[in-house]
Amino acid sequence: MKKLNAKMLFWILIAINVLLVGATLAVFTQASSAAQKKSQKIVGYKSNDQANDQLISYYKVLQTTLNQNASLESTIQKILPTDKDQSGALADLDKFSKDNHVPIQQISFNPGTNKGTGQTLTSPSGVKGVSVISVALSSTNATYENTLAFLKTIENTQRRMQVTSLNITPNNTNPDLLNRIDMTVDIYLSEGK
Amino acid sequence: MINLVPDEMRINNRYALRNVRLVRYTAVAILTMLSILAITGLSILNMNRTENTYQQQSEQQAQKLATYKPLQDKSKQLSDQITTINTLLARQVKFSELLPSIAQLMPPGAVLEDLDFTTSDILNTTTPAAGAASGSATSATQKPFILRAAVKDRTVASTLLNNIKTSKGLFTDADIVSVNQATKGTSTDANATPSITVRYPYEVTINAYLKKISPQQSTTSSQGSKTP
Repeated sequence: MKKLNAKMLFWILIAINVLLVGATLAVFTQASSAAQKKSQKIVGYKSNDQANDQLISYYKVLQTTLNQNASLESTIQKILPTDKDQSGALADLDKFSKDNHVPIQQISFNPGTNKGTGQTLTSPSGVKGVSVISVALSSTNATYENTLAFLKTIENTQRRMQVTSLNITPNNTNPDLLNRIDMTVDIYLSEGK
Repeated sequence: MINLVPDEMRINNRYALRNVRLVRYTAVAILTMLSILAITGLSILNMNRTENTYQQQSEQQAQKLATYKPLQDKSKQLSDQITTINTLLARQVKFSELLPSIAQLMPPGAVLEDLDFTTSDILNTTTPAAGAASGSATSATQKPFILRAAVKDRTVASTLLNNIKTSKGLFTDADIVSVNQATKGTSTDANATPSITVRYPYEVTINAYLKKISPQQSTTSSQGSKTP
């Protein structure tokens, strides 16, 4: 076995130094890579948290808005009910005719084209999720002003209604008096979910 | 001075001196590597802690967000319903405003005999450009709105036609179909009293072409005079 002298130790130390420098570089690279991965993960979580925070704050505002407008749902239900509530519609039309002095001789409900339980009288409206009940009304001997007021009441009532056809025949001697008024009123209702 | 140390010892001494320096270098390299390891280790530990904190926060937020799901569904439903109501309101045709506008077109010496409207005469179901078209192109494609009026004389009939033609907000075009003198024998209404036939002895039939209005304009375009 060769005796360890200073020269041999020198070369051994050179080798150790080279290995140490290499190992240091490797450790540095690995540590940097690991730290970068962790950092990216943290950034991801952080941005996710921030987005969630924002979303939660929006929901809080939404909750407050909905609480402040608690009657909104019932108002919508009145405007566009899910139930056809034929008796309610009939009562409304009767009230409008009495309030505006437009005597209605005939009210007839269109049988409708929709099929299924609870769908009788209803037809598609052309607007997604909305059906209509078509009601034909006939009136005689109403004044022009009263008829206008009657139309205005139908147009402005809370429950969504639309006069879709109107036929008026004025009196021969007094054009302010209408001999006959025929109209069709579409009463809208939500098809529900 | 003469160096009497043997060559081998002299070389060994030289290497020994170099070795001392190399040992220092080795120590520095080991220290550097250990420092890097320590710093990195601490950093990664710290980052792990931060990551855990954020992860927990994220989970808590996800749970909180889940509790808002019914609220989200409810608001979506309300939003859809409001949109639907808005669509219906945009499509609304106000006959109570349309009638006075048409009545206002009647010149002195003319009265309407009857009116027959439907919303499909007015609402534009095609593109807005098609609804805005006028003149003969409109006449060729659109079903006319038939307007029958009793008039004092033929001049009033022509004034009525002009009024209709110039009312660009309401009609796009109009043509007289006939002007007939209403006599007892030819009167369309058997119950007509003599006074009306004396006052308005002519019956004019006009094919008028209502201006198709887009749903957004339907509630505002006919807000003319409110008097008949």
